[in-house]
Amino acid sequence: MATVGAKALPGIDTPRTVRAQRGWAAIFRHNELTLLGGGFLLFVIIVNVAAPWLAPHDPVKIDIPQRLQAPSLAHPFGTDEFGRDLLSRVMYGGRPVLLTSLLSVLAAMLAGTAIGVIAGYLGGHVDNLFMRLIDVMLSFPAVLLAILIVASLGTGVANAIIAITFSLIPIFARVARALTLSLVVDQFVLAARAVGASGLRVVARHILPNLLPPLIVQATAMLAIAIAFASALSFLGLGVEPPTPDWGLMVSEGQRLIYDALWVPFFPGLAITLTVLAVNFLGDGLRDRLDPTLRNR
Amino acid sequence: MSKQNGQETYSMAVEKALMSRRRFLQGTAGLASLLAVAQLTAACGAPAAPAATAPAADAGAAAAGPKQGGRIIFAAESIGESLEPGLWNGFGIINIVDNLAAYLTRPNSSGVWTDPAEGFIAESWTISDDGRTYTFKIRPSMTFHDGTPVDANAVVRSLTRQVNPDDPSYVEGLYMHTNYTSNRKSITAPDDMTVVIELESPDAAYLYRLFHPSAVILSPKSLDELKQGIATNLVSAGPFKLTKFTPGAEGQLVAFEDYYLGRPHLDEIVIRGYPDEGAMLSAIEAGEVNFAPYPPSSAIPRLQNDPSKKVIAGDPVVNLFLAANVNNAPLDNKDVRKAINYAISRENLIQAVLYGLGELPATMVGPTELGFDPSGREISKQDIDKAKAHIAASGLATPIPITLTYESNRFWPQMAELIKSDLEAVGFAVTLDAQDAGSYWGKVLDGKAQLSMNQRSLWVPDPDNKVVLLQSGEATAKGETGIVTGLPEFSAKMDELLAAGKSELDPEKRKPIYKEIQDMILEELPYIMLAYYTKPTVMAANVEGLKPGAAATERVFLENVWLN
Repeated sequence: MATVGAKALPGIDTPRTVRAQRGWAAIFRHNELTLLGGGFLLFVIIVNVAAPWLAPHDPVKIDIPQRLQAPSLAHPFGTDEFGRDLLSRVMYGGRPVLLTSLLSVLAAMLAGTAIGVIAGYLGGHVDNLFMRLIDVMLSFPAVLLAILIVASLGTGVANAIIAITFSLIPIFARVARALTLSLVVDQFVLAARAVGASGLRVVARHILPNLLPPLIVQATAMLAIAIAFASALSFLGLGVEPPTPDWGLMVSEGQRLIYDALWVPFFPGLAITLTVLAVNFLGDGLRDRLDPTLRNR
Repeated sequence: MSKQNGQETYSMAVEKALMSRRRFLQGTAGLASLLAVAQLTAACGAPAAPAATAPAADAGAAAAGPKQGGRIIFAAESIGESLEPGLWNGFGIINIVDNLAAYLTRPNSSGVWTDPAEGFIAESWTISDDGRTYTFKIRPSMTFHDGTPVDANAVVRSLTRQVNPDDPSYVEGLYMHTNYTSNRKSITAPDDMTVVIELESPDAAYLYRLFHPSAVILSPKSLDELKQGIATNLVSAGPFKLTKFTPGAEGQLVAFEDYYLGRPHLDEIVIRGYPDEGAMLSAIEAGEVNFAPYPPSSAIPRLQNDPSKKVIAGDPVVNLFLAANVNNAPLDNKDVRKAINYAISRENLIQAVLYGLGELPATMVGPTELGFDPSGREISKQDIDKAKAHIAASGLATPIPITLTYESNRFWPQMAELIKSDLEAVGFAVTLDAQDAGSYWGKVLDGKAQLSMNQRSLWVPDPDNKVVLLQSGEATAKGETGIVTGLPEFSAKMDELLAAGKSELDPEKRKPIYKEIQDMILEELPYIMLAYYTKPTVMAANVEGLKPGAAATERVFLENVWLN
């Protein structure tokens, strides 16, 4: 027994290891992909935030004699057809994408959770009304909905955030409603109501805290989708205005050069791919930690 | 127990067989990395894009004579929704129309676009001494694609139907006919084989105007039967006849066996829209298309070295320019227009966007056209000091906000990006306004744009064809530049000169008139020139018979083309 306390046997959780697993740090323990994903995402965020200090060149400075230079020591990612340094542009180019995706996921989570909790808690006609509206929104493919909204409102980061937020709200609302429906019949909620707690208090103290973990997992999954959406909108010319560096826009501008200067669309495309993958890895680890029944699935 | 074990074994087998999400992500990452490294290694090993020049190749030289048969898959810029040539539906529609059409006249068979027009349906003609009356003799024994004869009545019907609301083919909004109707007093058919056109005033370019796409001669039988349905089926008497038209996608044409000059060499032409340059380039690379008159400029240097391809480029007859709406502040200020002019580096535009396929411009009259004045090129040279001096002289506070409107296809977005950079360097704050083609023209011709970017090709090979944009009756003068209301004195004087230039039949006497027109443009700058563009055409190496000059404009006639 003393051996068990000092060193865990394979497959057996000791009280110490259980406590450790309950901490957020355990998400990364024994899960290299999650560590890799989280680390890379952090790296991307730091690089983009610190781009003005880290970037070796001005990302919008046109230098025609240096155009279409292949990757070299002077320009590790090469230059584009206007002679701009691609490394610097990639370092700056995640800013609009990350800003758009993070803010839109946050906004969609807040709005979707509010809708889902209200619908699930109140039920009846309110539930019906909200869920039918959500059904209507879900009947449009999310990317199409986002494109329609941006095309109506006009291009720009703010409108892209609105568009992506609207396209993600139904998913959060559905999740929040389903979880609320299961929570409102749980014993602790019934007990709280029995002792006279108000509806607002029940929601704030007993339902929302229990919604948070699964919603965080959902938000991570949605962040990957939001990054792809934001890049797609920029690719279609519905995001930021040139010459502002933006990964999606850079891929779009470089697609004509795919046979002649592959590095122009390649590096921003790689940045999008790796960032989306990193977010997925992180989301995978979060899901494992917060929903162990799905581990290894 | 054994049953339970069996179920567990089965479950484990299923678990193994199904790819878990984690394994999928791992696999995706690994595959992406491998592909990325392989692709980039290959790309970096490839030489950088060579110097961007596209010498004209003689596509007409072929070892053996023309061969019969084969199919051209023609990559058009886009395909519009309607074939009605009285409306602007994009270059792809023009490409379809030109290959099925018979006009009264046609471009010179030399391939030199500015050489005199030749007869097509018109076998011969005479012009009265005062230059106002044209009498055309119709070529005998020509038939339309539906087998009906081509005669004078068919010509009169086709050349009046766009201004006749009683014609069953008439639709509201037709306007491209003004090229040949605005100066026309009458058109009659005194007999079955004679057409007489009387003009209000002489027109040195009238024979050219008669092969404008909107002047296509159509079968009267088809006009009566199809009515407005000609939007999807044009029946003319050209070398190819239409077999299928899919709006927005493609047109299919086959050789017309009864063509008056004999069956064309090709069996079939498929003209397909590729609005996306990347998709067009992929189609060219894959051999999916064997004729592409709108290739991405960025690919030209490499395609020139590809033995399976051929690149030809004619004269720089396409004008690329900015139009300044003089009604919309701050462009009502001449110093602002001059500042814009001097701020822009045309050399950078030509090198970085057109990949060398262009020339420093002078004014709207191009280097191959009558009356070209090369001295105007001086004003097209970037001069930052002059630009800043004009900004200061404008009396406006910097940065001066300005919106640049342009079409979101082809090279326009790259052009806009460079121009924005140049303008912001001297004190402007530029907002880019990319529009699809339809929205672009709606906005520009309604006078709602400030600075817009556009091109003018040499469809009618006469200097009047480009400078006529400033004629007060044109939608461009009212909306694009707004000179009719914004610069009324300039507009009135321009009208006088345009009328004089058009009606003067002596080329030597026309030259000083167009010189004065160009001087006026350079003084007021309602149009700010960007480049004379040399439009390249890419084709498979076995495509023969297209003269470089014939590829210079968007009018691409494949009648004499064959596959070797």
